[in-house]
Amino acid sequence: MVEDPDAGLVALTGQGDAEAASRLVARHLPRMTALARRMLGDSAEAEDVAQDVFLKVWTQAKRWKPGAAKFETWLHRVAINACYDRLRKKRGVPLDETDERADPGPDPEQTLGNVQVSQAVDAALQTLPERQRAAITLCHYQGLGNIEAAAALEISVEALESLLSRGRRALKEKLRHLSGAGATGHRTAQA
Amino acid sequence: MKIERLAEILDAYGGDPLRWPEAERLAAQGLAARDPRAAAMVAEAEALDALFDAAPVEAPSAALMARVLARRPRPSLWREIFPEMSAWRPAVGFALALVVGVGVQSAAADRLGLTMEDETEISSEEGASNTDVLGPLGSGETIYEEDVL
Repeated sequence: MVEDPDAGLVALTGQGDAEAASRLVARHLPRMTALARRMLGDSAEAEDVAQDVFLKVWTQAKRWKPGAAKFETWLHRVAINACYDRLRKKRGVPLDETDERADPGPDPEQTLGNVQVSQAVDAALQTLPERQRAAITLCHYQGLGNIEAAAALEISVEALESLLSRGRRALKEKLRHLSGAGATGHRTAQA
Repeated sequence: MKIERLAEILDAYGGDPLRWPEAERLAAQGLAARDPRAAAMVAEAEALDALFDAAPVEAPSAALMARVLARRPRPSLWREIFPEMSAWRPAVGFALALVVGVGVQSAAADRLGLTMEDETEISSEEGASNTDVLGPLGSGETIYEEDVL
């Protein structure tokens, strides 16, 4: 049996308890919005995804059976799949590991402040193939353990590790010009 | 743990031990603590983590939270009135249906008796057809049956 800190709130939400529903939203909406924002690179679309995710919560809460998987893992799976669907519709082709987008690249003479560093990291993340981006988003930004992240992506832990390694290596290369900027946010870019 | 495995872990999960696989965490931390090469690898991974963390996302607005909650289906009137009685609902519903059913049956019986007397009087006095007289009564009975069901 999986220990699930959300089990009680989900059960009450399924029974129509408004207070429990509010607490569930307060607990998970910021994380779902952040996940979708990192996956889609667009705040408005991220809000749409978050709303879709909670529509599923409202319909599924009364049927939720604790024990099989954590509610949060299920929630992440729903959100990731919603993001994949939107990305597929945008591109009109299936998910592909070979779709790394062109990186506009840094201006070597540019002095980067916090905002520019943030934008550069975000832009680099958006150039990754979706599955690598999802793996990094779940493990690094959402803080899921490797087992939960693999379950959310419906892949093995080994496959997750491979996606993470490739994703991090690609990001490291793309962000090489920012090396050292993360700690302070103010560094002169290097070629 | 061999340093090669630590390198794989850092490559995938970064430099924060909290993100490392739970089953290997202690061994990896031990290696990083006693081997300077391992410590340098951890520091390099931490630097990349710091870059990732330099890209925060904004928190959702209160308006979004309100929109999400507004799309929650409204609980039924029953739940609004008796939130704690869900387990008793079938029994109470059956009892209510029984009471209404008995009441309707009794009212219908009274009304039927009265109308049959009226029909006899009208038919004999004005020669009206059965259909004209029974029409409204027939409709009334149907409505009663639906209410009971």
